[in-house]
Amino acid sequence: MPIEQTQQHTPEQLGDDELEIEPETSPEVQTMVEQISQSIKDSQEFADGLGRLAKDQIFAGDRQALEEILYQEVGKGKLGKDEAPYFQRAGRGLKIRHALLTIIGAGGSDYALRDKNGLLVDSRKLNFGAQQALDEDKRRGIKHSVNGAEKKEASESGQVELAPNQPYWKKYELVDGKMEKTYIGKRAEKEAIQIAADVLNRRLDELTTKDGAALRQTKEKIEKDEKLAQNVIRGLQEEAQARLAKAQKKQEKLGADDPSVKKEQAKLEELNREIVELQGKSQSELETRRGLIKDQQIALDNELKVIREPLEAQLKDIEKPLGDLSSILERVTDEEATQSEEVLFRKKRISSFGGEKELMESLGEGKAEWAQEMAQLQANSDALKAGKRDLEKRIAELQARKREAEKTLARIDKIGKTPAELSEKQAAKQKPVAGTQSAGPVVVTRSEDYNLEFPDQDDQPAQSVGGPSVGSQNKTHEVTSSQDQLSEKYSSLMEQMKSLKEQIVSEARAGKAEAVAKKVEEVKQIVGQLKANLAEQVKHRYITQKDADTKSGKFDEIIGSMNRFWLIARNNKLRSQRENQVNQAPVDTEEPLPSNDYVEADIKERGRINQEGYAVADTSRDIPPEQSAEEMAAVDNWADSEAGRQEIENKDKEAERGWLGVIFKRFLGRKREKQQEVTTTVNEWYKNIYPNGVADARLKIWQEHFRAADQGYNIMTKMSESQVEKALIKFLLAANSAEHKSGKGKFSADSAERLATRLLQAALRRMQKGKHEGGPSKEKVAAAKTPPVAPPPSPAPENPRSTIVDLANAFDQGLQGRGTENTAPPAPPSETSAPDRTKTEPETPPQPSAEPEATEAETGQETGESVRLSAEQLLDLLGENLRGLNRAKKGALNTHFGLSGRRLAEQAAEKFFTLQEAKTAVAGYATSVSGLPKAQAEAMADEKIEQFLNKDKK
Amino acid sequence: MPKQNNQAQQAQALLDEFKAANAKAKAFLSDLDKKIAAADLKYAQHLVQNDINIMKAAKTVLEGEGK
Repeated sequence: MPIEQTQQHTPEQLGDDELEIEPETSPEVQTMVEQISQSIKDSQEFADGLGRLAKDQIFAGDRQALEEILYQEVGKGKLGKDEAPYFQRAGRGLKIRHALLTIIGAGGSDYALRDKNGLLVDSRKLNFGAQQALDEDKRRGIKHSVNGAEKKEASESGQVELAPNQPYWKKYELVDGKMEKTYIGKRAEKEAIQIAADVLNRRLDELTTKDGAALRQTKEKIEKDEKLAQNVIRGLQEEAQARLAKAQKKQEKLGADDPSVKKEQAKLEELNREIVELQGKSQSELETRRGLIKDQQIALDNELKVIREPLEAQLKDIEKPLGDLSSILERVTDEEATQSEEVLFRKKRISSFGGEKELMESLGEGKAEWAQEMAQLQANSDALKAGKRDLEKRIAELQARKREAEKTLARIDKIGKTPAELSEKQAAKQKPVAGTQSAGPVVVTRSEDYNLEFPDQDDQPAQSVGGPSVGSQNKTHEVTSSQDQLSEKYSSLMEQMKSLKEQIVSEARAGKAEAVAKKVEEVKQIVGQLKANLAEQVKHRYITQKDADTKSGKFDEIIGSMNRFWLIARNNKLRSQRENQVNQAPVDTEEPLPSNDYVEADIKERGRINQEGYAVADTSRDIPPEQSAEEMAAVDNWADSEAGRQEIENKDKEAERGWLGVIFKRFLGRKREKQQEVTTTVNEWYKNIYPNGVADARLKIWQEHFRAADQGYNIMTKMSESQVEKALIKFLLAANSAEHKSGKGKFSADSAERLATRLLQAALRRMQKGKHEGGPSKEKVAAAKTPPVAPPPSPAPENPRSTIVDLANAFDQGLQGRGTENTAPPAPPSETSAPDRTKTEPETPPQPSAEPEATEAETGQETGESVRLSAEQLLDLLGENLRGLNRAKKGALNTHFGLSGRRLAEQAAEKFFTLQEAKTAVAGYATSVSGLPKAQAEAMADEKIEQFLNKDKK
Repeated sequence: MPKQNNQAQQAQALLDEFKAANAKAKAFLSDLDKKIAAADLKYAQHLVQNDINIMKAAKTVLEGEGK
């Protein structure tokens, strides 16, 4: 897009101070730009990556490697006139045999060749000097060119196919004393690149296993010998010390002139001489050997340098464009979010006119202009998307090449190093160094020599939203303190907090209000530090360590899901509010979940709900006229219609990948201290977009988003992964319930299935947790309140989703000791019954499933029975249908065997579980649920599975 | 009648807002094109220079020893 499209712009649009290309260019320049474009295309092909680098740079001076990379043998040829000068003239016998062939058409010999003058030579007998010439050819890798006539002859005689427009060469070799001619052609570019990558790999392997290994072994031997020598010397020194003590004692006893004392002293002197001598000898030997190592090291380094330098140069080259393109992309992403937000905002206002048609009528003559602007709006949006795709493609290519180069460099770095050297290097790497380039996360750096920063536009605040991010990004990567240090800091802060709290208590008792207030301030500060510390820990775990890619991915995924469900929950809560059903929404009010708090704040502060269920700012320009009952009904109808639903769903999707995601990521990825800065920026930014009143109102909404995001962030920071998952389940439940109430099943079959699986797992956890704590968990209430979700559009005869949801409910009920019907999935319990039910839950001691026998003994009879009953119900439910059983087993396997959800899903997609697996799962389940002894649980599992199978047969 | 006038004014105001937003978006796109092109060109210049150096080196090696 970029180069070609810039041609369409006028010079005014482009400006002339910062660009090196101008839209109105001379044909020569255009040709050059086109060539450059082609060059980029050629050079940016990801697959070429290392191979191309190897071919073009690493082996550019290595003839042997180039021979292999660039050329290939295309076939053997018959010796002919050109080769005759290598041979002696034919002898009499050969001449006669050849003459016979000419005269009677029989006889002849393969060894007879005619030279350019028609004389016969014997290809078995090399000329004087021919051997030397062939050896020299081989040594220097000389190839002889093949002329057109020979190409034609070789092809026509069927020896080998040589294309007339391609260059070919030939080489000669002596095989068993016979000369052989081999034709050589050039490899295609792609193939050459592939071969170059292979050659590079082979070369690195050789260096690792041969030169590198030899060097490493020598180094290790020296280290070992040095230690040995030190030990021997130390031994001698100890002996000398002992002798000295002995001599001193003797001297005190017998006097210095005693012969035995003198003898002892002589011995001591001799020993000391020996030590000095040995020290010197060992030192000089080690030095000699170190010198040898140095030579070896230099030789190896030289070999590696040829490979390393182009790689390092490539990395450096990639940094600049990568940094520039990434900063542009960041800006584009922000712009995209802003634009979609703005469009959304204005579209809402169109509806205040009763729709676009009405608005156009009001416009009168401006109608055509309106249509034009709408078309322009779409065109702008499309162009922005295309630009973003372009950028992403470029960035992905560059990043792939960067990773490849980094990987190879890391490999090179290991060659010839002893384990001790490697760990030393690793330790040095882990020290925080600003701006270091490592195999870690892609650090986007700004280049100073060509700044591609967007200029401050007239209608844009000086400090753009993208602004603070860049500075903070580098800072983020500078803070690479280890997890241990962070944990230590956290503990020390907690200690301080504890002591402060104690002080506060004592001072409060003494009635020192001022001192208490002061201490409370200190506590607040420490809380701030604790938050920052936790944020760092999260970053360290999820963001800074790029080797934890999967974790990071998972985190993103969770955040993405939370965003979505948060929004749905919020929307539906708002809608419910409008329908005067606020109290029925199953959102937990005890725990400060972002959605709940956010929604409350949203309603309180703005109190108005627009047609799509979003709260809108309370400004005179923004509020649509008071809606009549008919209008409200129309809106409801619209929201229920296919188009309305579609639009709401699209909006949710937009929101998920739009501003909220951006804010979330900003909060997670950057220092939290930047919050104020970002808020200020947004403030200015918005004031430039909207009229004053609207800007204030919009800013309030943004601040709410920030607050909510901050809160969500804080909560997530403090939560373990499973807690995050639980929170997600809450969102799901809230969303699901509200969806159900509004009579719209918005979940796809996939999300419903995920929901169901999570419900099942959550129910399992609740059962275990409930046993430990003996009290109702909040989720339990939420789960119990949840009505079954609408059936998915699956063609399956049974309704697996509701089965699983019912199972989850059944688990809860079972846990409470309430019976369920075996034959049908239980009806969702009423909301009022849920709290009562949780109150009656019996208290049971913890029952680790690993020791079922012991726990059974400890468990009360009543509890045991009620729980066992629920286990039976569960098993009956499991047997309801094959899919239900399979999923329940999946849940059980997950819980009991620690298989990941993904792995399970893969397994489940491939096959149903074997009977043995089912038995293990069901028995394990029964054991953990009811505390049944293993043998009993297994027997029950066998029986239930048999029942199930028989039922299936019937 | 005043109500209609008011509506027409509001509609015109909205149209003006759309116009302004479109103009801003267009300016951004134009700028974006420039930035991408500039980044490309910088990169391309570098690659081309590199290619020339490499080709020169390869030519020396291959042709110097080739025959």
